[in-house]
Amino acid sequence: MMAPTDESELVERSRAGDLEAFNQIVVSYQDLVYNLCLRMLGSRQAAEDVAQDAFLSAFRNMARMRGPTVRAWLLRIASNACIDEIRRRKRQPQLSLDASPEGEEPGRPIDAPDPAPGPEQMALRLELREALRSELLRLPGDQRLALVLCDVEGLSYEEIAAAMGSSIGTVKSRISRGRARLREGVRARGELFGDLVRSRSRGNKE
Amino acid sequence: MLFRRRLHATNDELNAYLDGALGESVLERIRGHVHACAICQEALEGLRAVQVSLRGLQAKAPRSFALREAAVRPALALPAGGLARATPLLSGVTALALIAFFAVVSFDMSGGDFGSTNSKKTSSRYGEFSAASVDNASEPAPGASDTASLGEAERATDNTQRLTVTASGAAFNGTGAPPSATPEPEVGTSTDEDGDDDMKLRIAEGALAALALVSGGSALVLVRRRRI
Repeated sequence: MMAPTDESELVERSRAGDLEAFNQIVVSYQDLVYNLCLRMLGSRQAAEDVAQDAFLSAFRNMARMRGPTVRAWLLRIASNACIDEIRRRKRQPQLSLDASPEGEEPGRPIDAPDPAPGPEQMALRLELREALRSELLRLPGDQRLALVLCDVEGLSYEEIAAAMGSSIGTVKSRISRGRARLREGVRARGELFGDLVRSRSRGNKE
Repeated sequence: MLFRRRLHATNDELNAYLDGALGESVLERIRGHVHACAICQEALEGLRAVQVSLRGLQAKAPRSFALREAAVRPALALPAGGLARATPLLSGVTALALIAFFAVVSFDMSGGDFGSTNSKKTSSRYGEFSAASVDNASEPAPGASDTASLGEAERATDNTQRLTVTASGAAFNGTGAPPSATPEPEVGTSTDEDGDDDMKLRIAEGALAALALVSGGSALVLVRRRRI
């Protein structure tokens, strides 16, 4: 990310309306914000639009920035924008009938948790990821947001609570219910999940 | 039942365990139990598979979201941009016209002569203006009653109404643009006996006051158009 001193200077300049300084912040966090929007909304086009609007809104409201970091502030604005968009789609059901990932590029795998996964394992994991991506879009908005912030974006409970404007207890329970629902959703899709879980179970028993 | 619940880990406990959010004593109990209980172990591994797979859902921004000047500035500059540039110009014209108007009135009072000729027809234009201003005093929007005032033109010719012109000019200026001149109360009556010179002066005054009215009115229209 960015060195804290650099960032606080950029924040100060952005507050004074310096667009160039703000754009440096944008570049640092655009992957984070875009990915949040993509996982929340499921379509690339919607994610681009909402992320762009979130940055614009952040710049316009920079003088009123609250929260410990600009990262938390951006995530809060983007989270609210995603929840608004989900609500808007509910009012216009033709947009949300199918949460198909059409137009979405496949997630670029960054993680490599197992040292040497075989080709079967890799295929299994990709398939599971695909399943999760669409199951995620079936979760209620607040659970989806908590889970995306936690597991996809890697935020702490405190950061998630700040981004969602709710208590840590609420965040914990949303994550917990969301994960359990995803697990059941994926399990209902077939045996692949069971295979993966069993193979992981065996692997974990030293 | 109570015994079974205590025995198996709850969903909340398993998730908190995964996130490393359990206190020391609970952590020990859950770890010990999961190690020994196949049901809880499978539940935990299911959650862990979800967690790990979600972490893999990373995507890079497909383009830069850096904001362009053009996208940002219109909204920020709307109240202070073109409007702010146009209005001072027009209110400046208003102010100049009013100042010139007062200058002419003062000249008139001190008995000066412009030496130009004009017909009586335009004299009534001055009268028209003063009549309009008398009427306008009770109306909320001074700029809106231009046409109404034309009808009143022929009736008013008395030059003692000049004070009202001054006052209404100042009041109008206060609505549409920053105040630029203060009315002078002593301007009220004209003692000039030469009707012809008086008429020329009235023409000049009327023309200047009309200029002030028009420029102030345009400023108002601009303000409204920009706000819509």
